[in-house]
Amino acid sequence: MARPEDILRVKALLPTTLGSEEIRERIAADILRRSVFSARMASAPYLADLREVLVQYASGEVNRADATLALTRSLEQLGHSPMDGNAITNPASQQRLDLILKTNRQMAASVARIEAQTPDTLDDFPGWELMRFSGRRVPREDWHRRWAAAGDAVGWQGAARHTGEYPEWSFIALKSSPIWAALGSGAGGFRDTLGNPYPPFAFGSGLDWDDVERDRCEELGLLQPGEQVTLGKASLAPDAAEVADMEKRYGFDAGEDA
Amino acid sequence: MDLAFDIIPDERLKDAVLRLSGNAQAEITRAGAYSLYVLVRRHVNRYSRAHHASADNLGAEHTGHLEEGSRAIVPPADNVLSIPIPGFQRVFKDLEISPRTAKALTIPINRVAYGKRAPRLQSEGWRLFTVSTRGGGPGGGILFGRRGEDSAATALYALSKSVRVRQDRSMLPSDEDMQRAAAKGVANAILRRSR
Repeated sequence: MARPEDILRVKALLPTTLGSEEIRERIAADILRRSVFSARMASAPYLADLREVLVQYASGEVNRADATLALTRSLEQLGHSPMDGNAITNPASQQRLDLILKTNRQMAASVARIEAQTPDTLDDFPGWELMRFSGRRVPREDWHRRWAAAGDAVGWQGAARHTGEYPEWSFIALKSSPIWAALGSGAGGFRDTLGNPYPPFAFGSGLDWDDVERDRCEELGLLQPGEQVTLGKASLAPDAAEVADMEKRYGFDAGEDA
Repeated sequence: MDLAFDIIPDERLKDAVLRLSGNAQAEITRAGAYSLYVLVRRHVNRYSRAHHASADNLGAEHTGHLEEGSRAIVPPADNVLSIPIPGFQRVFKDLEISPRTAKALTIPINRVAYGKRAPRLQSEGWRLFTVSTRGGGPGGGILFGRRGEDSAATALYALSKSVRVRQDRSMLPSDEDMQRAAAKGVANAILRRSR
């Protein structure tokens, strides 16, 4: 079973001169999921450094301050500087580096979470609840609208209509529900999503999945006693052939414990 | 940090599992480990959202170091749960932290410095300089910074040869709760196979 750092390690480098909006419009989400990229970053050596730092950050080998410093040094060699401002368009800004580090780590963890599902875990915990894991100074307050739009888009298949108001809301659905893909695709016209059927469901989002016990799913009417949930694989995770190819290229064994 | 657990401590349960095929044993262990992971992740996240004293004392923005770390905890394939949070070892013992390559640790004492390494601040245009404090602690001193020639000097970091961080067992659930969670996952998996 691939760990988040292994998932990140085998990502391909995708140098690009495109901005984030253009990337989203022109490059298939499936390709983006398997790539290390940054808007308007055409330097493959920097992306290689980024990939290595992401691996170290995801595994807990370094904290975000050290990861940020390593990337700062790499970017300075390309002439990018934090002194150029803290806007997200500056590759060396704290804001940009934080977003890249956190988003990639969270995405890889989500994929590992999906990949870890077995018939036993799906029976014990057939659902996910989208809830706040990380605080935000200015949290989005439109999650109930996003949830409603995504739910309407899929006919509420396997999903419970939200209850409560922020912050006492409740967004619960079966792990197999298409609502997750609809949420990630920005159903309802939301343009700040990443196109993934797993957290984070929007840029910089502090919401993540928590497992929901079977009893609760049955109480909500999401499934009947004895009913089974099955789940497809997340496309971010490498298959066995890809892992073998990367092992040959980079000389590591993704199957061994650190 | 990797936490190894005895997923099936009960000897009678262990005997029952050992009579099953290798595959079934692995699946049952994994089911128990998954229940344990759910409990631990929830607990670490709840703990993290209640502990921001360092940042709050400085009026600094939270780094979310523990919160983000809890998001990154993923289900284990076996009885070893990985907690990808630097310094999490203090759940089991006091930690003595010393600099790896630098001469001293830099401990932020200003919100500007919180969550940032000193070289990163330099890249942001801060000019850093030290002033040794008379009678200060071992290797004691203050790292000041000035941003712009006309600006006042700001104390950014306290320098120290080492720092001791106290153990905090409450960062993880109790041993009893963790055993109970793992046992529940194991029991459910055994029951499913005996239907």
